[in-house]
Amino acid sequence: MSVTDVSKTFVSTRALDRVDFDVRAGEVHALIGHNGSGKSTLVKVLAGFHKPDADSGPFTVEGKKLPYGDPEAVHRAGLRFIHQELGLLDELSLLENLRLGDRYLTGRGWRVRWGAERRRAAAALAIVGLDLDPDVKVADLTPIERTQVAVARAMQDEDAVRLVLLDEPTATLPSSEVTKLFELIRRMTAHGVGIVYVSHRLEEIEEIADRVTVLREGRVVGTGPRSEFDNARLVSLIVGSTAGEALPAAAREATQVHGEASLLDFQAVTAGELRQADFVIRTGEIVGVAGLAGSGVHDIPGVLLGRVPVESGHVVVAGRVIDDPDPAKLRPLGAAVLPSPRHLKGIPELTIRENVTLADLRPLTRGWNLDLRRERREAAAIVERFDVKPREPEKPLAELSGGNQQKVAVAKWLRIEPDLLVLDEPTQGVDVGAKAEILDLVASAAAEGLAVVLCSSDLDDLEAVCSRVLVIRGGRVATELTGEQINRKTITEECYRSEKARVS
Amino acid sequence: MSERKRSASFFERYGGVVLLAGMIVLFAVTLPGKFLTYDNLIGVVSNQTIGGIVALGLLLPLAAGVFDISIGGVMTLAVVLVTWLFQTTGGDMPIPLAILITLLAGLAAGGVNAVLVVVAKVDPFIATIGTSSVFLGLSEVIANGETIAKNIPHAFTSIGRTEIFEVPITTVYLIVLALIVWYVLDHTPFGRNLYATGAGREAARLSGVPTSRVIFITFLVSALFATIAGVVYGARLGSGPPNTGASYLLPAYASAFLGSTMIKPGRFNVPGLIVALFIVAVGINGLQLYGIPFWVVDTYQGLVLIVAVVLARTKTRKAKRGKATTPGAAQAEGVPA
Repeated sequence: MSVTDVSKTFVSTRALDRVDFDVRAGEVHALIGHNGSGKSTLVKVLAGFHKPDADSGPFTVEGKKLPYGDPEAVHRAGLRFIHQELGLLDELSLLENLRLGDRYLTGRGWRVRWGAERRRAAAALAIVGLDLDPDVKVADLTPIERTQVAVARAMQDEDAVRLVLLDEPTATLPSSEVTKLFELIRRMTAHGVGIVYVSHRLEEIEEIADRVTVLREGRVVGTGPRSEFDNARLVSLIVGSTAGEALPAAAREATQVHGEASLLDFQAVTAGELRQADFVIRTGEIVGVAGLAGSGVHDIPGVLLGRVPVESGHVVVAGRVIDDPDPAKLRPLGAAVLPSPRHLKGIPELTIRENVTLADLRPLTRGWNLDLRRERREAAAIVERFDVKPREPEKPLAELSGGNQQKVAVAKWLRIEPDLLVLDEPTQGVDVGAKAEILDLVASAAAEGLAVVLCSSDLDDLEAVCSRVLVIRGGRVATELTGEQINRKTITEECYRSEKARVS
Repeated sequence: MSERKRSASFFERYGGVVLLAGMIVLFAVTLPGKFLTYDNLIGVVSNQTIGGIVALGLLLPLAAGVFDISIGGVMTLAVVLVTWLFQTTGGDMPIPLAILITLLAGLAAGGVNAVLVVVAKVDPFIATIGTSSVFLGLSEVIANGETIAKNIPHAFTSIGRTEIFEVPITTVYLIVLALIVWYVLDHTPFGRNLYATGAGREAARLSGVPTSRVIFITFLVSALFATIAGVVYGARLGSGPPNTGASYLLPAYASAFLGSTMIKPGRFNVPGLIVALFIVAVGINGLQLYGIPFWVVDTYQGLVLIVAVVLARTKTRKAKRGKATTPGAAQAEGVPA
């Protein structure tokens, strides 16, 4: 399979810039790159979900040309895609999952021939080395078995399959089961199937890949046999050589004010992907948290929001141990958390005014009465101060651009003057200008003593405002970076550093 | 811009008022001497009072994004209970006590719904369909299958029959209750939390809104209003038939949904509800004055409900288009503890 000269331009950004990519039969070709490098856009182009720019070169499978943007043609040509979430339905049986979206074998009177279907399902499961009853529910399987079922589904019409793309297949697997996945991949390549392996984990790529392609800012910055790339070279390709950009004005000064009071203290917290994570956040500091997908970075805000249950350990906020944290418990302690999914940051149907005051209506309330006049005045002042566009507090939040919605969300929490603000991806999907504004707002609040935890996959954010950066690897704080160490390159190296190397 | 929600235009806000005015003009012209008389108009209004009280209570769960199907059952229970309390005591029970007991029973019924939804996390639709049937069964037991009509004190029936300056007292109840609900929805923190919960339960919770408590209270309020409606109904009728409430369920939904498409489109709001109530009532009244057959009433109400929901749907779809959130996804979040 090969694509040449593929470009894809979204409204204003060029997500892919003349990318060439090919996979040979029976090889494992690893595709790597940081968030926003164009990796997922390329995957979607291959799957037929995105149509690339008109001037792109041909898309061929075994020499035959394939139309772009046609998922069915892609399927017919023998390309299969297994996404990180696997796309299995928990409540259905293995057999039903295997037949999903496809026809059942039927006999007379549209009767499903269950006997024949069971034999067919068992055969498909045998391809991946699974010996399970096809009537078992997917919900009852272990993580590796689920991955195997997803592969079985992709491979069930074995003779037609030419290429399987695995997107972050190990993100949901315990490390002990990764070897089983590799056995499965080797079994597939032995059948002559080409594999595209998308992953963040360099040690896996070292073990399984025959060739590597690195994407950065929509371009191929390196490609060739795996043996030509050591980890250091891969990391420097992923990061690039771009120097740090200009810092927001208020940024570094903020880092000077350091209190000693501990505002947030994770004590051996195990929750979600976190494994006995320990760290302390103090007054007035901006602490960045970095880590690859699946490392547990987002479980820190998740735990505080009550979206990820704490299995063991203690979460201490403002000196008090909080069992089962949730926003209503945190607010009286002066802690606020901004979640990352866009639809949870604010309420689109409510107006800007209603969103911005939602976190605390008490200052606006006399007796039972909500003082709407005062609320309007306050909302108008906030819209002004945070430069929300349009400056119309009565507009529904849904009418705002992503960046302005973010500003409203940040404003909502800064309004209640918390002592601690945890931000999860506050600049995701935000243009450069709005991004700098948001970071500036956060930095100037920190200068007045606010402690900030900034969970961001945007390393420029971390570089710009943080006084400390915690790198999360394997569910715990693996490294703490300070001062000159806070730069894109070091952070990336630390994120990708293999666990084995760390132990030795 | 096309994929973002626009602010509501004048016609979206006041289209319903224009429609109502148009209907009134049409009937006034085509039914001279029949439609535009004081007796007819006050009849239209007072016919809406009981349904209006039920619908006012229903606004709260709907605004919080949950369904309460049990209001018909609760209302029936109230009608039967309040009249039975008089019959069984030979008319000796003090009227305020009988009303108080009935209101408490109504709150208890709402409490059952609330516990099922908030604590046991049963889907509100299913939970209240179930309890509705239980409340109806309970009413049958109390009434023993018959209409309760003995020993109803005169002082009780006057609660539903008195007129103040030629305005039926039930109309006064509706106005007072409407003002209360309007104030709570638009001018209290509770109202704000209610709308936030309805528009995005998980997002509201993450902003610190006590969404579970909000939902709990809405079930108490809708049951309380259905109970008030039942008491007023029993007083006006002077007896307690064991099958009344169910017929108020559909009109309450029809006017609540139709009301949510006007004045403040996209929100269940009191002024919209009032306009919607009268669109339904004036329409039925006009059709009846034309001498159109009896079955038209049900058909008309059903059509209003469907049209209202379609209108409300297209509006929300407009707002949600291109967003990650879908009504289904919001539903799937469940009720957080």
